[in-house]
Amino acid sequence: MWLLIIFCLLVGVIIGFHVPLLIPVFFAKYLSVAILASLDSLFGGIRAYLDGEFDNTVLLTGFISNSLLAAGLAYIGDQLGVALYVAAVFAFGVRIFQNLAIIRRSLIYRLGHRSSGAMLDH
Amino acid sequence: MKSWLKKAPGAMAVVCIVIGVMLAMQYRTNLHSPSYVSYREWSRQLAQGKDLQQQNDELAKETMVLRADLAGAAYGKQNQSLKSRLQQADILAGFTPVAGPGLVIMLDDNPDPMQQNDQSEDHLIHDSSLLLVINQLRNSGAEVISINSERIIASTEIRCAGPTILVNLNRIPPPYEIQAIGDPDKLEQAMRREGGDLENLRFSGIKVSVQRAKNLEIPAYQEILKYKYAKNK
Repeated sequence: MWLLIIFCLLVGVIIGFHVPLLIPVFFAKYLSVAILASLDSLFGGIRAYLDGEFDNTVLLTGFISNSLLAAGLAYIGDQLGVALYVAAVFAFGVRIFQNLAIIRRSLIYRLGHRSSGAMLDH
Repeated sequence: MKSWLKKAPGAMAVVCIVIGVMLAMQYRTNLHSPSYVSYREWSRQLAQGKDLQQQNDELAKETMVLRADLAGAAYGKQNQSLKSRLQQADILAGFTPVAGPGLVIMLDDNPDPMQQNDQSEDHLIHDSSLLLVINQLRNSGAEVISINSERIIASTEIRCAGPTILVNLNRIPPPYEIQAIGDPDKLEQAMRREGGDLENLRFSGIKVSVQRAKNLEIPAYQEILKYKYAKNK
């Protein structure tokens, strides 16, 4: 799982660096918000995986809808003159940290469970 | 390994690849965007900015000095020849009122009542008559000319407009008072010449009088000159 994630991320980065087209600066802003949304999906997926609730469809649909919503929100906000992208940054930022905390605990629990057989409360 | 693959989420792979691509592209875009400035570039531009600021200050000082020079030149302290050239150009263009000795020519329509065979045209002063007189005045060294206080400049037209004549697009009715600044002797000689334009006019019945003047005052050209097609080269 971890190998898969790292490997695929690397593949993506390499592809991204070698693709000849460059995103226009106009879209770069929205892409950054979309990246945040997709990172949230990634962490959510890892968490679900560790919890044993992982579902391909849920991840994929969540990924697409979150990215589009985040980018669209940023765009609409720009058109209206309201910094709506802050909402996306805030929501996804908070969720990323929450998911990370859950992942961390889950991993600690697992390692602790394996090594000592003890249960961790939190 | 096989169970890992089975459990391994295909969606995760897709998501990871897409995230990787987006991250890389965003990074590259940021590298090229103007908001991304490396420290080296930043310090270089900072130094450049200071240089430009200094240059700006120096140029501002220079501007002040040059302005002072210009003011001095306008008051005639530094460049007499430029000043006299400007004055000459002003007179030539008709931008300033002028005064000086010269000649006054009065022309009026024929005062006699028309006879049976007379043509009304012979009793009136025509634009061509005025043009002839003015041409003759110029030929004899008139420097500044006016008709009924309309300054004659390079672009002045003199043309017929019914019972009146258009000068500088202003209708002027008779009698016509032509003032010419120049050498009064020379001008008078030319105007009183036998067989000259004025004599011809007199013969045709126009009332003509010529008078020397010690100090004529001719006003400046009143309109605004606008050049649309002719540009300085």
